[in-house]
Amino acid sequence: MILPLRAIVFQLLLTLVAIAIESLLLHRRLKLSRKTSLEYAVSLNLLTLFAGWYLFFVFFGTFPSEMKSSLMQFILFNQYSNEILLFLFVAGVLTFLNTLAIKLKGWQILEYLRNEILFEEPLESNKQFIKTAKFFNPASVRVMTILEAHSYSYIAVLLVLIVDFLLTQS
Amino acid sequence: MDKFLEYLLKLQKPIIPDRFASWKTFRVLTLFCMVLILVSEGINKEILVGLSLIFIAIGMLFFTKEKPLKFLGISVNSWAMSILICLLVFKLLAGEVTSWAWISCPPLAATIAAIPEFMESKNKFKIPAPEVRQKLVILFLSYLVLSCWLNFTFMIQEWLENDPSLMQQDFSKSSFVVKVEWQKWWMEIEEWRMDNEQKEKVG
Repeated sequence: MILPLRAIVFQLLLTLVAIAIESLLLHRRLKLSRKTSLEYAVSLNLLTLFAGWYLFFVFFGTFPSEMKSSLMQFILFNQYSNEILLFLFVAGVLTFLNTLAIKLKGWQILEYLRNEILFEEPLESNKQFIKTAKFFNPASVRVMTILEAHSYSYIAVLLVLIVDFLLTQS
Repeated sequence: MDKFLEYLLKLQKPIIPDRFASWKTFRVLTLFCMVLILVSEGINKEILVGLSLIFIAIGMLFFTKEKPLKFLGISVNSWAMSILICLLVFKLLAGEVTSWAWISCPPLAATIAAIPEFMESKNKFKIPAPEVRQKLVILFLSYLVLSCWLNFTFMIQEWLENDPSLMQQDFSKSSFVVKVEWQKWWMEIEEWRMDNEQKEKVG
């Protein structure tokens, strides 16, 4: 029986790394309590995991059959081809952007669900907003922090993956 | 004669339920169905199998209310109920249990586990408190990820079924999948156990 146990364990490990880094950054930068920042990091990362798997399943059905078979070779026997490397590169870039967007939107939804407003946005008229784009208003600080946390965790995950790749190739 | 009657009463005590709405009622009904299944054939048998499954499911519902099922200290009521419901729905409506039955189990389990948070009293709904909502979000998302993993597993099984020649190849290099050989593992465990027993005898 062939089970994807390695993928599951590895994914759990990577998610734990990402959650640790993101919650630490949220705690430091946004002055949230440890519990709150951990809860935000856990729910956002689970959301991105689910969204990633969902998109993978949806798009896998639309791939041409050659692409499918080379992806199969990669998953089952770890055989790299040029197609796979291109796929991984494109998937990596798209994952970064998509998960960032999902995290930003997910944060808003989570704030609404938790019934708390962590950052009050100052009331401004449209005119003023165009004239003086305030870079340091609370909302953009939040976005910047999420971007920062997301980038750090993404880089950490990439590093782990690269080290794993180098170890398995040698 | 009186003694015989008393004996009969004693005998039926553990079987006959003490009140109507109890899991014992459905156990008796299930047993009755099983007995009938043995002697019936054709369409009757199928109907009886369906009925007994339904009785088992309702019986489980009552049973878990009286005595929560525990596995390693965690309540597994919602899991037992969701697996039963999925099997029932797919068996009775679709005619066969497909991989979708197993994939839809975790979200259903999460839903069943979340129901008490939405109930204020027996027939009154409420919106859960913000802290509870956070818990429910994490619960739902983790169970959804679980069903994604299940789907991935079934996807790999499908590939292997479509191309049986893949099974002969070497899976040890893969960073995704593992070849699990239950029989080999079992043999190894048995061997290890035998060795230990022999050592104990010698020592």
